[in-house]
Amino acid sequence: MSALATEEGATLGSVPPAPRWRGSAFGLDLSSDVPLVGLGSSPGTSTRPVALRLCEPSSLRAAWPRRGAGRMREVRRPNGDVAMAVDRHPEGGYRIAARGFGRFIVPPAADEVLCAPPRTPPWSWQRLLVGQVLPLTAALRGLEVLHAAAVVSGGRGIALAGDSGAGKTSLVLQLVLRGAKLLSDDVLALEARGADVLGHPGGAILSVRQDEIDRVRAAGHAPPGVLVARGVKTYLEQERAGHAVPVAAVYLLERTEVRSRSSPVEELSEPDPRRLLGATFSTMVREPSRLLAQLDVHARLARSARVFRLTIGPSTGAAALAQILDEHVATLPEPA
Amino acid sequence: MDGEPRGDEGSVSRTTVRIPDHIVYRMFAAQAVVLNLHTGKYHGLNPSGGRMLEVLQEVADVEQAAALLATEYGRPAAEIERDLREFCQDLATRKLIEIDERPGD
Repeated sequence: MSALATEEGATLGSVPPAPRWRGSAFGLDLSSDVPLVGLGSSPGTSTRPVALRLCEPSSLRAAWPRRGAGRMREVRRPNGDVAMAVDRHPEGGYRIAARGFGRFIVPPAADEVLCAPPRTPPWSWQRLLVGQVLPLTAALRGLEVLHAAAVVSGGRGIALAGDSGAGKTSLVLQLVLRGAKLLSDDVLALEARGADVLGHPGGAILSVRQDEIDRVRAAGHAPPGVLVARGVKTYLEQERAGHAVPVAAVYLLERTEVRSRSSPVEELSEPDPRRLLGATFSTMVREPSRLLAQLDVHARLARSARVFRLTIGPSTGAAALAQILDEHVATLPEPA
Repeated sequence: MDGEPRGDEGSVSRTTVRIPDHIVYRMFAAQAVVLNLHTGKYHGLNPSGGRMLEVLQEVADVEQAAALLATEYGRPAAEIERDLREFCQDLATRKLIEIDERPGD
């Protein structure tokens, strides 16, 4: 490797080696020194390159300004310990740290992610990367990120929006069993393009509760995908859709304790914008350009996609719900 | 005429509005959503309010905007102008528009 001389005569460092892995997720073209589990291994087709650079914890600490950062978000464990923290500095960017998952810095340009991972298997610490850091990066690069899972069914992008615990992952698992292809689990990156809103492929590892795995086996199926790890949950890597697709429908998942005989699917012909805007994943990024892009995408989505409420009753299992949803999606117009 | 704002020598004043650059809005199915980019705060407008804002952006003069809307809705211009002025005051209170009152020609 050679040292490069600048025009001023100073010497730059050695030319870094070419990254060993390239892939894409959340509308970002990713390059990395280490493979990123579940994010494909081919270059993306977007125009947003992001390089993941691994470094030692001391280097990451040195890269973060000593003063001037503000705490944006904190997630605490039941015992009060901080499980995850997100800080922001006007010049430093965003720093995301979670015990057991490492520390990350996303600079303001969001063209790279600095990462000091812990000494745990890559699939484990990369859960924070895929679950939080890359969605934040996508938001900083102008994409809207929705708290939604998504599948591709009959060529249509179908988004399933709902809070954590709403049942998105179980429903996605059952839809995949029925032939849908995973687009993203838990976070969907959206981009307005022409008259459409495109949903980009995202994370492909489903984190499934054991009781749902048991139900799949009891129905005579093998859990879909490749087993990545098994712990409190089972982590299954799915085959992911290879490219962004127009979002044809958004289903807003709502749990209810009321048993009802009526169809759980109700079209919202005039959806309250707050329902869509409220499904945004990243509420920390408040730069004007990001807020405007968010408003643009949601307004376009409200016009280009059909919006439905999907009510999940107390006795409705994911398999039954997937059948209802699958049949409903089949009634939607076929993609052009 | 009674009720008309008047400047010097009995002339009718002219009211114009300006939507600041940091105020943006987009039309959704049944609402317009107005966003203040400085504060990050969203405001919802019903379809009529959204249409009024659209017209005001095209035609800054309140009287002219009211005339356009009166034709569109098939209602008396005076009635529309009253509603429009009330709407403008509400938006100005929320710092979403700036109102300029000047003596007429």
